[in-house]
Amino acid sequence: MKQSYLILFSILIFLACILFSSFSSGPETIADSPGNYVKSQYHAGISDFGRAIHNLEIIALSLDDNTAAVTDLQKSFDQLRVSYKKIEFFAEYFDPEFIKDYINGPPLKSLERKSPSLSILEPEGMQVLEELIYGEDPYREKAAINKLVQALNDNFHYFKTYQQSIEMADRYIFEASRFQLIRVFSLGVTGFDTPMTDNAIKEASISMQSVFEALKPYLPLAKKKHSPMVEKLEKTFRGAVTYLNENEDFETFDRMEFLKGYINPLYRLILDLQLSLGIETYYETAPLTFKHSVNYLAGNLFDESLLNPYYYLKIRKIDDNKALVDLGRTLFFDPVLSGSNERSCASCHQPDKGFTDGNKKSIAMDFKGTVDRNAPTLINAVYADKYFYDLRVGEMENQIEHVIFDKREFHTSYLQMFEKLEQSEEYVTWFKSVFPDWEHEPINKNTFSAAITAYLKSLSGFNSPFDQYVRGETDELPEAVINGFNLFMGKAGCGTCHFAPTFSGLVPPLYHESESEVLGVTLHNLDSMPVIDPDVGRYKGNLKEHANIYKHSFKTTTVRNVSLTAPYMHNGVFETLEEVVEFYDRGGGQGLGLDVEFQTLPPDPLELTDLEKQHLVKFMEVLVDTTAMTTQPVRLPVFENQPELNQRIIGGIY
Amino acid sequence: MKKAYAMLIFVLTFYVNSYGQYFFDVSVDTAWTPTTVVLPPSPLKFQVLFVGGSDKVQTTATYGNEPGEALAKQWHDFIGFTPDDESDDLGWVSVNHERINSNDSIGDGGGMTVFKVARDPVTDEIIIKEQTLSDGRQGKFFNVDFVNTVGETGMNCGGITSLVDGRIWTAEEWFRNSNDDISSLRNQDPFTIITDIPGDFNGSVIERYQNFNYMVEIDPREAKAIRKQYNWGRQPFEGGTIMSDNQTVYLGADATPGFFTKFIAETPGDFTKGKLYVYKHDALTAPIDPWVEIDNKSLDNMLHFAERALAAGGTMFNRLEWLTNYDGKIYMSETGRDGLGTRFERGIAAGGVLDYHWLEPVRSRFPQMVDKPDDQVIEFVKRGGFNDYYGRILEFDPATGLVTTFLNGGPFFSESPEFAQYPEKHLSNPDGLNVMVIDGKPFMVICEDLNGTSNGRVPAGLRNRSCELYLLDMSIEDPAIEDLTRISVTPVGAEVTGAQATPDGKTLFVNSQHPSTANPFPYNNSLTYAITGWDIAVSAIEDIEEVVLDEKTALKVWPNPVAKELKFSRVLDAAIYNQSGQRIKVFRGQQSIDVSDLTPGFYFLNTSAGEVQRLIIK
Repeated sequence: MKQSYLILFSILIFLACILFSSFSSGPETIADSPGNYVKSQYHAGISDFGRAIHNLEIIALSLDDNTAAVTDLQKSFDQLRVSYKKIEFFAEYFDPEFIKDYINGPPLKSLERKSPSLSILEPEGMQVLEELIYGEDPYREKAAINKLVQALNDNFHYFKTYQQSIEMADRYIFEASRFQLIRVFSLGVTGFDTPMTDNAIKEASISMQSVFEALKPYLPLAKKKHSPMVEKLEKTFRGAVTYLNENEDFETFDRMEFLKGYINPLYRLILDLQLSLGIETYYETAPLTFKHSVNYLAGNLFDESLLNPYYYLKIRKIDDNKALVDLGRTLFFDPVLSGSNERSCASCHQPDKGFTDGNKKSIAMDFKGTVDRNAPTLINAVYADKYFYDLRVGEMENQIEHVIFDKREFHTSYLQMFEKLEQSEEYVTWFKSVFPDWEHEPINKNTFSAAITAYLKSLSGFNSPFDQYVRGETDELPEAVINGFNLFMGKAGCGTCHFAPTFSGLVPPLYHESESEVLGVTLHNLDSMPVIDPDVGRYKGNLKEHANIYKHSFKTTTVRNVSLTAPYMHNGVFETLEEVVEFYDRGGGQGLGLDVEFQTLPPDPLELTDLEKQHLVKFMEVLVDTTAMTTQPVRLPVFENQPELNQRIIGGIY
Repeated sequence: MKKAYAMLIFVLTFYVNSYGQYFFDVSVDTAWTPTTVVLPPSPLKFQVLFVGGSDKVQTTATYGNEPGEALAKQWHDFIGFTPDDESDDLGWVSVNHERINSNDSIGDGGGMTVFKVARDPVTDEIIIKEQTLSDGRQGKFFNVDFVNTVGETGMNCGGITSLVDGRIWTAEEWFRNSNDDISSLRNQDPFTIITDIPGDFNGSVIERYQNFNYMVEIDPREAKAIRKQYNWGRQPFEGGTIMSDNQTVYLGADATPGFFTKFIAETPGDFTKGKLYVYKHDALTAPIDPWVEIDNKSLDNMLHFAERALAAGGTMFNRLEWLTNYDGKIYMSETGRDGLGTRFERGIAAGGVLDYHWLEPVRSRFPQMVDKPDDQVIEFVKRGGFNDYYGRILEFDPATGLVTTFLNGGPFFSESPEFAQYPEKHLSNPDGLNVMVIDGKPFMVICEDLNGTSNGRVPAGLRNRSCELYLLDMSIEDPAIEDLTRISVTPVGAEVTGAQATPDGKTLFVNSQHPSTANPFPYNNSLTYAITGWDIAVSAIEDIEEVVLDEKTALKVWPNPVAKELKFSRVLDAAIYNQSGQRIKVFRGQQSIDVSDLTPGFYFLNTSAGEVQRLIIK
């Protein structure tokens, strides 16, 4: 054994010699593996970032009240950004939480995680610095700038110590690269992390170049067997960098071309390279039962399977089947679930209206008034880590619970509901056949929730004409829609909150977290005097989020299928998409002159032209996919001993 | 031995540098001739006892509802255990629910569930008993009635099990500062205190929110709350411990600054009367007495405990969680906090002080602090310069009056460790703490509750919180992270908490709280489970600790057949292939792996050194 191993070893060393000697820009000594080489490059990058912070610190300390000094400060800040963008893909991959908290998080106050009582944190890091350094009067903010730079320097100590302690594995390099492509497209070129400057495209170019550099040492290893793939990858990377460099203007940058021509092809090619080298993916290093949010084997950002719906649900893929969905669908349309036997889930979530009800606010039990908010679409609703406009619930299974108990909705309880369902022999038999493991008590919270959530999961679709075009399945998409998409992801700033590919507040590139925003939505439409809607949203949602920064904060819902789901916003105040666009164009509540203390939407007008507004609407209107979602049950199960229940209407009377 | 280990590392590093990383074939030819080593499987048995949102609890008449049944609350935290001396049953298990729910029939707020357990004389397994309580409730699980006894409860997090007689207190988490903070509850009217605690409590009318955040004694036999301990102060309590004199109580508060307090009852077992003290390490009275009394007959003092403690110059801690005691000493987890900010600075301005247990963690992370005088290090902590990511376990010795560090969280590497040396064990944000005595030997049971995922609290490239449960042999002097034995990993995303042993040392009850929804039923709910067989397993644990790392002997892999944890005689880079030769798992730098996710059957283990072993997963 030992001997054969030695021989093998020598052969490999020999091979390594050959490989590396024929590759000039790669590792310089044969003792270095690509991983170690990339690691040393990364450590050098970390040191550069540290030096850039230090330089900024010196300049900020001696900041004077004149234009030249401010220009120097801004130049130094730009250099800091460049040095960060060179290492961002690893920094974010290894420690996204630290980066968000201290290095490159949004310039907004936030709540401390896992704190024993309410604790609001001030923003730290480069983005809040950018707001000051590129703000109206950096000199006036000198003290604040100095404090933030000092904090960044302190935090750099922790950053460097931890990041350099990580032993590089090959798969990290590939995974970090692919997640960076998602980040560049969804957060980079949209201007998400460049709140004040127009450097987004330039920064994307640096990102792409750095990812390419990290992958280069692996190319010779694959070249022998997979030469065309490697050549295509090299060519596409070079093309991407050139494209970005030649189109640096933020407003006119063609995101569609960048996506189709570079991001998507590279997203697949890097995967192909990884698999061809036999480098493991996270499926092989994590427990096989682990649910990953991103389907690593998907080859396109708009692949229908990019996101793993089961990540967000209690049911697992192996539990999901047609029988479960069919049962869930019947329950969804069965008014017997409600205390009055007259309301079903479908009462407020109607298939022909994109699973909304067309009302500003849904009708309450016994037709007495309305519930508090507008019924949101259920299509793609599974892709979230929190539910309700106020984000008060963490699991879809528990979302249902609030409908069941609410006196204005189902006005019942789990146990009452289950007892009633157990009166139907047909339901009991059906549950037993779908859940053979629960023979003794087939109707319970677990089985009920599994059926309903499986049905909700079936209401997923990323196959609109837009998606088909992006994936290259069709060449036809109206020019206006493409323009609208470019505006959405660029000048209009929509994509910085409605993130691709769900176009909701589910944050890329891990898609673990749903966000809410304070927009200052008004009580009446734009024709009336602006008055803020009194609904405080998230502030009165989850007790642990009872913070003033969440006053009037509402979940960022999806823009997909939005042409079916009027009226809009949590209170249904806007009848048309044109009105919605107008509201944003004017800068939300603050832009309308309202005092909205923690508005997260910039108050400045977007200055969209009428044509641009039309194109934006055209883009949103094309995002429709309800394929195979509108099926309704043709009959409801029989209650053998309660004939009066058998008169109930599919979907209820509401 | 050390040398052999070093050599091994060298050899492995050499592989890594040269070809070890290039790569296991995606699929291989399965015509191998592996050897199989068979060793006995683990003696530990797992049993799920109580599933939140699934098991039904018996309820009392609450908010106008009839007594009845409801689905149990979720978010299990503390577990209390009360032995039954009057029958052959083991005793009562009390489980906290750390979540505010508005619920008609089981009371607003967090709450508790109690149930009674016995041991099967043949299998040693835990059996849940049917009970009839004196209020007429019948069933297995009972909702503890707070609403009709002492008033609504907060989020119930930690608590106290008296080791003397099994009395149970539950701690109300999430400090409320105004009625606005209880706006989700149906009742915000002023609250009239009714209590047998002497002082100006009984009959006083307080704001509703001021009736939250106490230690609350409950009766697990009758599933009823007995008393809010107004005389221990209104504090963000997480844990406490009662000494063997049945008079002295030590308490910890989960805040920054959080205080370490002591209550001494006038007569053993009567906790309505006694004096309350806050810890002050630098108290100058002689003989050295690090305790300053706070008058606990004053309602005003008790409602504003933190202010009084600061004014008395109390020593400030960074989020004290659970406390326990063994052999006269008190152990408490200081879970830590990302970013201290100005919290200590403000505390000092109000009179608080910092002690010297900070010196070690700061100096181990900041080389430039090693030679600085102590006061400069404390100054550094004071100004918020120290990010306390990992926390620690503290020890208080009443004989010396000193709080010292028992075990620091971490480890934190200032230099990149070798791949094979990358820590298999990492302790972050210790929370639940207990002592389990197995066959006469004390072990500390430590539960993690990660405050975040940054700075290595989860492995690189994995972004889900995963909390672990560790055992520590308390006979080890000056223990370190490598002395920990990992005994249970809760389902992904969960906080492991509540670990509480039965007095016979055979069973450990553990809660898995708010797990990720990605686990199969019932592991996608908060649940209480029992791990039985420690009396047999503990010798096995010790044997494993002593496995000698030796690169000269042939690779040993055990147990085989294996159900859960597969161990190797040395650190490995290896891949597991199924019978058709398809690669399904790759791991690097590991000395043990969890294979419970593999479907039972035959597999092959292929190491980077070319060894092949056949595996049987059962």
